[in-house]
Amino acid sequence: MKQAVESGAPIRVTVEDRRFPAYFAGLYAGSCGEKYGLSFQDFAAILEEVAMQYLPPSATPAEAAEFHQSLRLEELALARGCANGDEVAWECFLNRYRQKLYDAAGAIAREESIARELADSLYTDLFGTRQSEDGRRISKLASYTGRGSLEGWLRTVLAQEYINRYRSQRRLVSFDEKVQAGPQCEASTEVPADPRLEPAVDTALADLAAEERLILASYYLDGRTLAEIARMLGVHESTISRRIERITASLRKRIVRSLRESGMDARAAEEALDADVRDLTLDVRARLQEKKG
Amino acid sequence: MAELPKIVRQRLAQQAPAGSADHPDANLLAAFAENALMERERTAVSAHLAQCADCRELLALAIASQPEAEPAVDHAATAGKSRWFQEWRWAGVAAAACCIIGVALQYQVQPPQPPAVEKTKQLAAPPIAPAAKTGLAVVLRQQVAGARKTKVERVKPAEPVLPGPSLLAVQEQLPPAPLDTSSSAAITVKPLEPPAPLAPATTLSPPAPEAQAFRSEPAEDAQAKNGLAALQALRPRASGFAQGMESRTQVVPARAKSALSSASVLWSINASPATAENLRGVVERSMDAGKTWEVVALSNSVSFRAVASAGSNVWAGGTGGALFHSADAGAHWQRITVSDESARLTGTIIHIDAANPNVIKITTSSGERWTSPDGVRSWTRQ
Repeated sequence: MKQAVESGAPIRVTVEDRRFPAYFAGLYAGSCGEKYGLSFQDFAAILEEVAMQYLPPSATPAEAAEFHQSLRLEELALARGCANGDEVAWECFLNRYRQKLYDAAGAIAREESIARELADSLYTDLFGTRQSEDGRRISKLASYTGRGSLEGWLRTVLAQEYINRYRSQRRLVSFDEKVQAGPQCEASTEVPADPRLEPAVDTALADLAAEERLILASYYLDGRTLAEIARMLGVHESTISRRIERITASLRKRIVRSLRESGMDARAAEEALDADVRDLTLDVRARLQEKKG
Repeated sequence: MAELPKIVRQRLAQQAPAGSADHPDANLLAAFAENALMERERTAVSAHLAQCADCRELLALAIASQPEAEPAVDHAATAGKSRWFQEWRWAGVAAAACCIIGVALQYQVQPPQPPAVEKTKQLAAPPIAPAAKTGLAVVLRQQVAGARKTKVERVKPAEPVLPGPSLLAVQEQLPPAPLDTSSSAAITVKPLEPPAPLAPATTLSPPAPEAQAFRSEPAEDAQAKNGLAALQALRPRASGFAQGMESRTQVVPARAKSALSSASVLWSINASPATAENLRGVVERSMDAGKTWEVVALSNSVSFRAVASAGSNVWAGGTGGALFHSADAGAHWQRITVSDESARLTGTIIHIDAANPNVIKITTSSGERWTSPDGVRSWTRQ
C-alpha cells in the first residue's frame, strides 16, 4: 500500500490488489460494479468468496478463470450493491425486478392475497430488516452468487418461502393421513417374494445416470407431466418421452439380467418383476375389509 | 408411456434421502434450471434431486412461476419451439427432396457426356466464373453433374453449368452466403478439390452397358464424398446427437449454414461422447467436408447449442448466455459478454444467425433476441 501511494499510482491499485488475478479488472469493468457502489476490492472479494463456495480447492487458475467468467457478473454486482444499500442499485433492481417478483409470486401462490404477502415478505428479506453486530443490514441479496440469473434465483427463493410458509401445514396433514393409513403403508415394507429382487433393482437403479433417475422420480413418483420435466431439464417434452421409454426398457433388461445371473430363469425373473407380492398382500387386505363391511 | 414395475417405484422412492445440509441452495437450483452449472455440479444436483422430493417440488414450483408456465404463454412458447422444429425439419426434408429432384433433372438437361479425360480436367479445375455468381450450390451441382456423367451417356447437350432449379431452391432455403464466399477462390471449397473419388469412374470410359450399372455405385459413392455430402453427410451425425436433445434439430441448419458461409471449414454441435448421459453439446469442426470431425475445446462448463460462421468469423453459443467468437476460423477464441446498458443475456443461446455479417443475431431458449453489428461488441436486446 505504501509503495503504491508513494509511486503516485491510483489508490485502488494497492499491494493487496495484486493478490487478485489480472482478469478481475476486466470482469469488474464489465459488471457495472462501480455504478452499483462496489469498489474493485469489494468486487474481487465477492468473486473469491463465490469461487471458494463452489470450486474445489484443487481447481486450477484456468478453471477458476472460466468459472468467474461464467458468472452473471452484472447481476451479481447489482445484488451485492443492493445488499450494501446502494441507492442506484436499488433503483435499478426495482425497475427491473419489482413487477416480475409480484408476477412470480402470483404464479406460485395462485391467490392474490397470499401472493402479495409472499412478495412483500421477500422484499422485506431482500431489503434486510435484521442487523449484524456492526449495525449493517443483512440482506438476503447478499447470498446471491451469480450462478444462475438473478430472476431465476428470486423465483427459487420465492418458491422456497412459499413452501416453508404455506405447505408445511399440508405436509403435516399428509403425514397424519399416512399414519392413519398405517397397516396398508406398512405393507410396502414387507419383504418381497424373492430376496434377490430388491438388490437387483437397487443395483440397476444405481447404474442409471443421475439425470435418468431424476426423470423417473419426477414422472413416476411426483406425477409431473412430460412438459414439466422438459422445462426442468431444458429440453423438448418429446425428448423426455423418448428417454422415459428408453430408461424403463433398459432398467427392466438390467434387472432381469441380474436376476438371471443370480440363478433365476428368464420367465421367473419376468414374473418376479411383474408380480410383486405386496400387491397381492394389499389386494387380500382390501378383500378382507370389503368382506368385513 | 411404459409402466414401471411397482418394486422399482418403491425402491426408487426409498433411496436414501439426502441430509438437509446437503440440499442445493437457491443459487444452484436456479442455475440448474437454466442449465448453467458445470458438468460435475449438474450431475451432483441431479443425483440429489433424484432422491429428494422436497427439492424437486421446490424446483418445479420455481420453474412453473416463469412466464412461459402460464398456460397461454406456455402454449405459445411450445408452439414457437414446435414451429421452429417443424420449419427446419421440413426444410431439411425439402432440401433432400430438392437434391433428389435436381439430380433427376440432370438426366433431362445434361449434355452428352464428353470424353472422360475432359471431364476429369473440368472437375479438377477451379470453379468457373458462373459459379462465383450462384454460390456453393452451383459448385455442388457441378460435382453432382460430374459424378453422374459416368452413368448417363445418352443425355442431350446443354449448358454444362446451368443452375439447376432444384439446387437453387436449396440455396434459397438456406441463409445466403456471406460476401467473402462469393469470390471464386472462396467457392473452391477445400473438400471438393480432390477429384480422387471421381477419377476412377472417369477412367472407365467408354463404359460397357454391364459396367455402367457397376459404376453407378462408385459414382454415388463419389457423390457422397464430394461437397454435396456437406449437407447430406451431416444427417447421420445429427441423428446421433444427444439422442433427443432438443437442439438436435437445430444442428442441421447450423451445419448447413456453416457449410455455405465458411469456404473450407464446417462447424457443428454434437453431444460430448464422454458425457452422453448428460447431453452436453460441444463444438466440432471439420476440415474435410464432414468426413472427420474434431472437438473444439472451448469450455467444460458450457453446453453448446448453436454455431454459425461468416467467413473467418465463427460464433458458438450455449448455456448460461455463453458466447464465444473467433475471428480466425477457430484458431483463437474469445468469450463475448452479450449485454446492453440495462440487461445481460441470461438464457441459453439456441440460434446464431450470421447470414448477414453486418447483423449478427442471437436467439435464446426463452425467446430473447439480441443483435450486434459486429458480433462482438454493441449488443442490443430486441
